[in-house]
Amino acid sequence: MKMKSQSSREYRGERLQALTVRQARFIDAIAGRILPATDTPGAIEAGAVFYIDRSLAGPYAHLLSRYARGLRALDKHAKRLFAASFEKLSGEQQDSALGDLESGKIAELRDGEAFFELLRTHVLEGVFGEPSYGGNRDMIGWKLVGFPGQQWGYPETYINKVVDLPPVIWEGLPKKPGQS
Amino acid sequence: MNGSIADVCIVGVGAVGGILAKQLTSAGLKVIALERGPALRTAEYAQRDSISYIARPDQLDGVRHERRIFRTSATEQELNQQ
Repeated sequence: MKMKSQSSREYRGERLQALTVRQARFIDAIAGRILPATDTPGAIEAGAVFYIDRSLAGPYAHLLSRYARGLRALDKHAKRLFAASFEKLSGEQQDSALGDLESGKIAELRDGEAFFELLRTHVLEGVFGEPSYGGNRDMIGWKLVGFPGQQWGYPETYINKVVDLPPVIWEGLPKKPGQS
Repeated sequence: MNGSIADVCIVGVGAVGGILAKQLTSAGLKVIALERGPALRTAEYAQRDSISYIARPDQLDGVRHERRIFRTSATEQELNQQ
């Protein structure tokens, strides 16, 4: 039984810490509309859902019930509009359901606009934040905007110039010779 | 130096005061710099990532929680404000 419950928290090959698989799939679908992949990768590829999952397991734990309530209402709304779960809708249909959330038109959710803003903010944090928080996989977000990441410093040639260095992740202070 | 102990006194040795002190001493001036905060290590400057400093600033335990002290003269009893 234990094995079963563990494997049921797996999503995209990773163990979820706060969300259910269903919620993760739902948030992934939303993330894919907030920052869709075009000729460049988007929020799904950047793993924004894992950033949100880990945040909800830690510093955003107080928002978990708000997520559950908001997602339930959005799914109900999707079914009302298109007779299918949100994840199964076309991109255009998903946008229209999300649009109703954004403009506060979902009757079951009094704070719909605020919940949309929360979702949007968290998805973008998951795309553009430090990869150590669970999102921004392969530094996709930083590559999208040309951010060079946590560079320790810049060589003289980059002073007052556009920095076109590939992004790097902060991995602690450079070790001094002889330090272990 | 006519009895003076320094040419310049810098109050607050942060990002501005520190660089100013460096530039002035390089130019040959004698500088005294005053700083009330703790001596920060390099690592404390380096770890300013976007999630903890921009997305979740309310969870930082930084200078904003330190008390501020006001005096209108050097001998006056300090006025604290939280």
